[in-house]
Amino acid sequence: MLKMARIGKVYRTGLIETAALEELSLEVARGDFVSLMGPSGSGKTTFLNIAGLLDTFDTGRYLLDGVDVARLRDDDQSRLRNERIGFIFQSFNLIPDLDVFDNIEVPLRYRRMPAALRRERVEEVLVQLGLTARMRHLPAQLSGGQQQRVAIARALVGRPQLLLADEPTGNLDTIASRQVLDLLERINLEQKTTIIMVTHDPALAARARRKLHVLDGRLIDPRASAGERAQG
Amino acid sequence: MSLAGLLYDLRLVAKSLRRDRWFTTVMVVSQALGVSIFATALVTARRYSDMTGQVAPGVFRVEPGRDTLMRRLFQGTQFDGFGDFAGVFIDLPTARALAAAGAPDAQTLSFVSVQAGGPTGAPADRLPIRYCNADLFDLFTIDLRYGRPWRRAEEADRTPVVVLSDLLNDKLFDGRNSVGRTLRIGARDFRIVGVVRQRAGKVPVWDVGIAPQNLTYAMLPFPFTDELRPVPVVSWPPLGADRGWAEIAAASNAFAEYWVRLPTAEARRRFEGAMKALDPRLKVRSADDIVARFAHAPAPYRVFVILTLIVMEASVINVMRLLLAKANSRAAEIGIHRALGAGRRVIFTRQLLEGVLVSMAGSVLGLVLAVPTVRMFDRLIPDSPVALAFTPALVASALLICLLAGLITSIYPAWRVASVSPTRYLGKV
Repeated sequence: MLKMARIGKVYRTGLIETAALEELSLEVARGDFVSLMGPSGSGKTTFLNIAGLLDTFDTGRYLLDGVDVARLRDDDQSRLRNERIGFIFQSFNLIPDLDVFDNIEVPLRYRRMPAALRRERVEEVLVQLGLTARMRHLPAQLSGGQQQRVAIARALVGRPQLLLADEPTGNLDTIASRQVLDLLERINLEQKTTIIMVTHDPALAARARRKLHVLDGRLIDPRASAGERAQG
Repeated sequence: MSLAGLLYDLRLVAKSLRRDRWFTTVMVVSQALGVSIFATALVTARRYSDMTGQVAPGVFRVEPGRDTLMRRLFQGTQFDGFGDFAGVFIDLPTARALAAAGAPDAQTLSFVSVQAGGPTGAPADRLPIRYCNADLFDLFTIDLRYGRPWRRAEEADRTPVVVLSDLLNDKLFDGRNSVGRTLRIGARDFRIVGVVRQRAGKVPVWDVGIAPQNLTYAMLPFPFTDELRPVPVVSWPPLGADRGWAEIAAASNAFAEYWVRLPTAEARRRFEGAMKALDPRLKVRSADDIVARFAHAPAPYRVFVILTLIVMEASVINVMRLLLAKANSRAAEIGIHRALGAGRRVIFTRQLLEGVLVSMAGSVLGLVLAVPTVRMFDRLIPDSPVALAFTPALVASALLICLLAGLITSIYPAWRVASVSPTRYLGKV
């Protein structure tokens, strides 16, 4: 599904260069559920930005479903992002002017899907996430948990193959967090959607099938000991 | 872009503009102020170039070819233009002598006097009256709203007929068809046979020398000057009505326009010979030349238009900066759309659409605001041959210029917003 080889990314501010990712290599198979942990500034966000085609990289190669993304123009990247990737943000990032239905519909609009099909798809995810009664509510009229469910519905409505979740439970209470995680697990199992989830919570990370750590822009094998890491 | 896509973009843009009402209001008002100033300048300049009236070939006006007393009197003052208009008239004795010389196949003397009169039975009021000959209707293609002009035979028989201007017909008869009704001027009733169409903001070539307040006129056959004893409004030193028409007609300080049609080169040569014999300084000027002179606004007006265009552009640039600021304040939302699949082109189009909508609203509001400003200008500038007015062509051209300026200036903020990396807007995914 996702194959990154020796990806490097450097941020430049004037004369100062900061290496956000250094020779990061990773393969994620279709249907996998991967959690990504690491301290702040370790490169998790940069990794997700590049994985989601929202940012470019300086070195290395990135194949998404066999497509070399570096060769794509902006329009093609946008189309690929729209058709294959779904995003779940920590702060939900719903569009405040649009109601629940319209928020969920946005990715399908960019896919130029006919209105009837759009409606059918949106209603399907509304039922799936128990949001039918709230479909004409504005985001501000919903609780945090409900807003995150809308964000998940929006991420799922396009039936993406890859779901990128950035601390999806970061702004939720314990019960809502558990519900969201249950939902993600169900999506992963039932729809075989590949999920990469960034989290600070070890308990949540433990529920993923595969756990990865990022430190100073490099992937660390959590099973390796501190001594091995120092050597290697 | 599909129609559905455009409608969706319009919906999102409308929501965005509605949400940031303060920003939107400031942008629209900012542009409107610039547009209103520009539109006012355009209307002011265009009044000199909106002359109407088709002219038959070979039509000339006889002009004095020298500085008149009035021109010298007003030279260098704010009424310079008035002196200029007076300089196109010749004195009545010269005009009558030329009229008697023959050669033209059609000719008309023409001047305006102000007398008392009104619909028969109604109280008399101030009534500007244009005395002219039936040939005026042959020399120019005069559009009649109602009825017909008077004929040469009626003029020769001294049939009491009158043709009204649109403005007078509006004033006296509320714009209804007044043909067949009568107008009392002096001690005589004149039957209305026609109403001349006038268009707001446009001056027909035969009306160039008339002050705006006198455009509300009645046209009477010239022979009635003997009976009604009018005093031309252009006379210097001023004449009094008490002197009687015979004396006025012989006075060298009463002026009139004199138009002739000289259909052939031979006729023109003969006429010019008679003219030179009378006064070597006299000259003829073709009506086409006069129209061409008014095709371009005078230099000060053109400079005024350019300056206000710069002011308008400055206001549009201000809108551009506000559009950028507004986009920055909604950066996260743009980032979300990018993350959900909107390409740069989609964001660019949407931002451009927002700029164009603001520009449209600003331009329309600006034109509305220009209406009272134009009226104020009309009162401030006294030498106008015609009242300032918005014509559909003027509104369309002002709107087009302002929209183009808005569109061009919206391109930069749209491009800036669309070219920024979505991660900068989102902060983090």
